[in-house]
Amino acid sequence: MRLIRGEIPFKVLFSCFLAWMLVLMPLPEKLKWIRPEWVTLVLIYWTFKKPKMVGLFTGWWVGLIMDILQGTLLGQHALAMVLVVYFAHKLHHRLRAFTPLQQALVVLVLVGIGQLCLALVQWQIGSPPKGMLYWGSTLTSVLIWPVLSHFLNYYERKAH
Amino acid sequence: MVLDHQAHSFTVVRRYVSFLSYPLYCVVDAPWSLAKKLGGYFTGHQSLIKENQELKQTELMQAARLQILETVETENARLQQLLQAYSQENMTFKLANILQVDADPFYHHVLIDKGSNVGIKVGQPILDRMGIMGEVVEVYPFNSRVALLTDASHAIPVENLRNGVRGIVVGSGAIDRLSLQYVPTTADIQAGDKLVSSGLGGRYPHGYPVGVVVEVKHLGSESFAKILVKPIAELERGHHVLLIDRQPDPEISEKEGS
Repeated sequence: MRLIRGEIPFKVLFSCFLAWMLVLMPLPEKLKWIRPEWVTLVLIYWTFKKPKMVGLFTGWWVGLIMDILQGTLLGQHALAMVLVVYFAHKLHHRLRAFTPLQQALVVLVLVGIGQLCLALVQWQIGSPPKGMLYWGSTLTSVLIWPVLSHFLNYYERKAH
Repeated sequence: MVLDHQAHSFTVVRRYVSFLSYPLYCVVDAPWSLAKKLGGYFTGHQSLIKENQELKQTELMQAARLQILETVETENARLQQLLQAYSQENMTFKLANILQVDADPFYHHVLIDKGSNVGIKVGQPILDRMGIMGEVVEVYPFNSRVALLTDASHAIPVENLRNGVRGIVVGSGAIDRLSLQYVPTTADIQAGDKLVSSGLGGRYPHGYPVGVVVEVKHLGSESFAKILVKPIAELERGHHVLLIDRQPDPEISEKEGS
């Protein structure tokens, strides 16, 4: 039960807060579908960086708040985040030996898992994603990942 | 999740937790509303005068049309009395603003800045200056969530303004497209026809514009035509919206009661 921890440090909370704001930021209709999954990315970063602090508990609550903010089914994002955090946790030991490209691939798979989970839930309630554009956000997430992880790295060191 | 979807058992939880998300909405919306305010502040004297003149002109024209409308309205009421039809309901309007906050792309929802604090209720229709936009689906203390006509789970009963043919307009999930369904292939519907709400079902008032027919496709094998409709309301841009509050007509409730 090392995965489940109750304390969420301020830095994690603050970056999640920024990610939530980016998610709510108004975008033109065409770009909405390719908005990077900011919250998922931030969670993946902290799970890799502080696996002892950020676990399923954090993932669940961050996802739940996301559900409330976006008006989706309660638990939809929470489920996706828990899955993503779980797999990120499994992989974080190996990640240190990975090259940036391999890292990006891991992130692609993780975000993909989250998106797949959301798509399955949507499909269950009768409004499945239309077309391939839905997976566009997974791709943009991977493209933005190096920038975001550098930024969070910088932020983390600054905050010390 | 299943409980929330099937039984809506978390509506109360949602309502109270959403109270906490209100500041976040405000923060995201702030730059936009601030920019609008500043924009208003720096508008030149000249353009204000011009705008004022234009507004006066339109007001005059609308006042002229209103004069005749009153006559028509009383005439209509008299005719309806003769036919013993129900009279028009009493409606009051409330003004609200759309918050510049995005919802999940799966849903065509927008947030407005009025909630249960001013008596908004689930199911209230929303209009903008062109036509019907949608209806309130969730009410929070200071905000409400509105489902637009284009939301994939949304449907509204309509009739053709030209000849009264009825149908149901269903959201497509794309912001600029609706589809008119359950209209037989033989019905007289053409591109360019205006659709207004028919008031059946009692959720939307009768006679407000919904959309314009863009294209009618007759598929040989199917008994219903495929009809594309463009929404009239400015779903992507509208900023001020009107909420309709309907007081049930005492006469109707009397008739229904007896």
